[in-house]
This record gives sequence, structure tokens and C-alpha cells, in this order.
Amino acid sequence: MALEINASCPPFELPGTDDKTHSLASFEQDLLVVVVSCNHCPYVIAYEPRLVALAKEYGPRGVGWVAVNANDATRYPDDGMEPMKVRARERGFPFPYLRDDSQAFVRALGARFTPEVFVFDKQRKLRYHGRIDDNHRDESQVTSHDLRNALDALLAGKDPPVLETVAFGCSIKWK
Amino acid sequence: MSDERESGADRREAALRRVRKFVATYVQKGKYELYPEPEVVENVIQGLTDNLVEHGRMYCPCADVEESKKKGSDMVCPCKPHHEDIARQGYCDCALFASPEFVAAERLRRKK
Repeated sequence: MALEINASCPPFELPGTDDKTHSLASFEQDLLVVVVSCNHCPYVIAYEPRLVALAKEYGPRGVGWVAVNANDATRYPDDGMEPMKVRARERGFPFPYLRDDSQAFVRALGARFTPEVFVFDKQRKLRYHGRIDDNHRDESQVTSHDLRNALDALLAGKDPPVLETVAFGCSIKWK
Repeated sequence: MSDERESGADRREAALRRVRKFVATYVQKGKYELYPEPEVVENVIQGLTDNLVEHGRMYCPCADVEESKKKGSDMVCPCKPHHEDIARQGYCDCALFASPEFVAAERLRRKK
């Protein structure tokens, strides 16, 4: 069951591809975008350039970003820490890319797919949850920029125009 | 140029009809149901259609197509691992097909 709007972000303390441990408290920005992600999913791969661009655009405006991969790396070795390090380096992720090996954090979020985004406010209450936009195949055909709309609204002190959307992508590979 | 575009659109439309028919038939005649969220199902159907048009087969949209091509028909919908995936988690990895038990449990959960 997904985290409800206005619920608190579950705490986490997870290792990143930068060899550092990151916790919820280590993000001090006004907003925090948690992207449940992975290495092998074609939907994620399609969205990665958009996520990197969004993070670079909104980072200086007080939006923290973190990507978390919880996929079972035994069944999907491409989702292990070492391949994650390669991906983060190759794609130039401007945000920490964390490994949730126990899957506890991603389970607490109630995420089901990759990519799936959760936007938390300064008090780390959930304000938007769902998809990044409505077209993973072709960015030029996007008609609903859901994540961008949510961030713009929250940065302007308003509620997101849409609080929840149905995320689509690959199912999370549970253990 | 517009003829080419039209022909591309026609091809996709025909592929989409084929995918929809396959999915409906598989559910009708098989032991699984559709994943209980129409938006998710529709997205998978569109992904299968893309792969049918671009790669000639209904490769699972939740798997890397180039890797899938190396596995023969294993990752063509209905893919080889979908029985095992549904037995383990209630739905296939693309979230297209699901067990009746999973669908019933989801419906119950949403009613509460």
C-alpha cells in the first residue's frame, strides 16, 4: 500500500554509489524527490536523461534528489551496487544513487514500479506521488509534466495540481 | 511523406489491434487475469505494440529488447518466466497478467 499524501517520509540510511551512507536527515533542501529506480528497466533508462535534466534544473532551486534501487540483485545482478556505480558514472547522476538491499525503505514507501517518484516537502510530508510524466517513449509527446508541475506548485507555495498519478514501468523485483 | 506517415500509423494501429486481441484471448482462455489497474495494463499494451512494430515481436516492454533478442522466444509475451513470476508475486514482471487471487486481494484492499 502506497504511502498516503501528507504521510511522513520513512527514515532511511542507505549506501550510495559514492561510497557514502545517506540518510533522510542528510538532505536539507526545501523539497526532496525520491526516485525509486533501478539499472535494468527500459522505462528507467528512457527516463534517466529527463531525471538528470530535472535534477540539474531544480537542484539550485532548493530541491534535493535521491534515487533508490531496491531490486533483488540476486535475480537481477545488473541491479547490484557495482553496476549501479557504473551507471551513475556513465550517466553523470547529479544525485546520490542508493542501494536498498533490505528493500525496507522502498517497501515502506509502498512503491511498486520503477521509475516511481515521491516528492516530500520541508517537513518531509508526501506531497506528490506517481509518474514523472505521461510519455516515457517520446519526451516531445508528453502532455502532462506531472513531476515538474508538482515541483513548480510546491516551490510557489501551492498544492500540486495533481497529488497522485499511476506510476508505470517495471515492477520492483522483490526478494 | 504524408503517405509514409499514414502507413506508419496504419502499421501501428494494426499492431495495436493484434496486441489487444492477443491479451484479451490469453486472459479469456487462460488461468490469469489482467493486472487490476487499467492504466498500467494499457501502458504495457502500448509497450508491446511498440516492440511489435519496431522489432517484429511482442518483446516484454519491461526487459531490454536487445537482451531479449538473444533469448529466442523466452521474452516474447507471454514470456517464459511469467508463470514463475505470477506464482511468486501475484503478477508478471511487466504487470500485465496477474493471478485471480492477487486481483481479488487488490480489489478487497481498495474497497477498505
